[in-house]
Amino acid sequence: MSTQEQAKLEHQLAMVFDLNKCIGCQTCSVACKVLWTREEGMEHQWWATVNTQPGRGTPKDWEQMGGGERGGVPVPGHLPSREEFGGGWEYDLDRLFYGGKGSAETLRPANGSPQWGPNWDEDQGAGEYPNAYYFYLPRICNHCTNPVCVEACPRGAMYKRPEDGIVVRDEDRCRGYRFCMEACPYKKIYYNHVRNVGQQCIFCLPRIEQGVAPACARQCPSRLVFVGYLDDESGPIHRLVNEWKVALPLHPEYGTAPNVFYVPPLSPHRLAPDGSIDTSAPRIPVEYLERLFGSRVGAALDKLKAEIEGVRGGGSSEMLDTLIAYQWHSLFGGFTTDPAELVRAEPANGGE
Amino acid sequence: MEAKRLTGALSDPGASAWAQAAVEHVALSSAPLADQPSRYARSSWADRRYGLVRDLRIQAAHDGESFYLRLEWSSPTREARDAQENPFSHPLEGPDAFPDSVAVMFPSNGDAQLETKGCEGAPVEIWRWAEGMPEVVEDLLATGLGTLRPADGGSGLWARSGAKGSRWQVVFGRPLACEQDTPPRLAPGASTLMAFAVWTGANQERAGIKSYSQRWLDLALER
Repeated sequence: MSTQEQAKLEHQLAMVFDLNKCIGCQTCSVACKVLWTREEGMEHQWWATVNTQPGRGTPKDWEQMGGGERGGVPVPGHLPSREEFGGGWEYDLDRLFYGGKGSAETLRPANGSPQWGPNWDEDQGAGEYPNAYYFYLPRICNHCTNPVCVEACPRGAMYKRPEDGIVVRDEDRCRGYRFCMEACPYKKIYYNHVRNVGQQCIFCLPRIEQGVAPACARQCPSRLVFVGYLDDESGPIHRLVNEWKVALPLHPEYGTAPNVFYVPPLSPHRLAPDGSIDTSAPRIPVEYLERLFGSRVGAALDKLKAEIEGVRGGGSSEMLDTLIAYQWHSLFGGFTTDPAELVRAEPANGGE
Repeated sequence: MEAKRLTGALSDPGASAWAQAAVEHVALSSAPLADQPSRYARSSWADRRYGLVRDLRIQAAHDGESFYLRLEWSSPTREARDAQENPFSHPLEGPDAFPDSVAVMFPSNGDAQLETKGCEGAPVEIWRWAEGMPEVVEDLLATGLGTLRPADGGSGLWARSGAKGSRWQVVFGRPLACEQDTPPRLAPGASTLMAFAVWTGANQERAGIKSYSQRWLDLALER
């Protein structure tokens, strides 16, 4: 996308995930799956995923697959295979429950032997007892300010909506060439072989247009997903990203300027061999977090710790109040409409 | 080349009737990287070999009712697969899997440029076949790179394919008397130009990453 086209953007929608609150319950993943990716050809598509870090993620080892830009030059990317995505398993529940084989029949996929999946290395993490560590990392399309997927398409089938910066695709123009998938360094674009098109998170734009927050955000039971316009100075996104600088992009070195940001995880202290608390280093190595969130992660963690100390000392913190989200609706940057209250149009085919 | 008036089962790529038709070999080369519309493709394919198929065997015929174009080439994709495998059972659902494919391009008028796949006011008509279940046969129009779109229906285009060892054999066919007289004008005594492209699926060739013929080939239909 040219600078001129970027300048046409009126606003940019963004999200902040507070990783200190993520419990890895996958409710966001399932909320998205149920809403968007249930059709044939979308079996292995999970537009929202939550992976345990450190880990190999989904698709497997996606951080080693290239894509993005370095110094303004596109980096060749790898097109993930079905095996690297994994998942899409089908189960013969009739055979399991009614096949008459009792406990001799076990729950197993009917289509092959799984070797990887969208959450394969859950809770493995890293480190040795008693200093093992892990945290959860939810991921969706980053709706990047420099969307290399858009540039990579030889047909101009993808674009950023000028009103909100959501990256969308004209499926009538898409011919399934998948240069977008190759170019995306986050590997958050999927291929639908039935329709021969690429597909990815659309920031729940039909909901956004009705004032409803995206499903992953609204369904999150931990109140950790903030939604809003990056330039809304009164909203939580702007304050967390630009004012308090505690929300950081994932892999900023990929060069795409993501619009999904993360409050990095604090961690407990390490335990010394004698069982005493070792305050010299956090359980999660800062070097590891820097690899994920860049060089500003130390400052963000220091800011979080300072605010927490301030409150423990009897003070107050607007930043912590924001992150706690006492009011559920405060997460959603004005997109607070209850989808159950919307008047739904009848399907054109009468719902048949 | 001439499309002779022949009889026989010309719609069948394996039919003996094709032995009567002259054979033309068209040399193919890699489509220029500089013509790829995206910086990404120009950058990411700079060090990758593509346009693996270099020779396309071509025959053309008509039987007074339909025009037939038979294309045959040795596919590196098929060479890489198990020779015993049913050529039409290979799964192409994987996100990294692309089909072997062939296309023939006709200019709508003398101004249509081969390099740019036509331009405004001078579209090109493209017939494309791709392996798969089901295989794909498309009748397309383009007015420049990146503008491929379905042609208006009605040309009656079809294709039949077969395989022999590593070689694909594809016959495109179309009624001579086309209702809407869609270019190319394929009638006894008429002539047109043709150009060709081949994509090797196993090498992830698609879009402008392909082998193509750099020059138009003359085609005349026998009266």
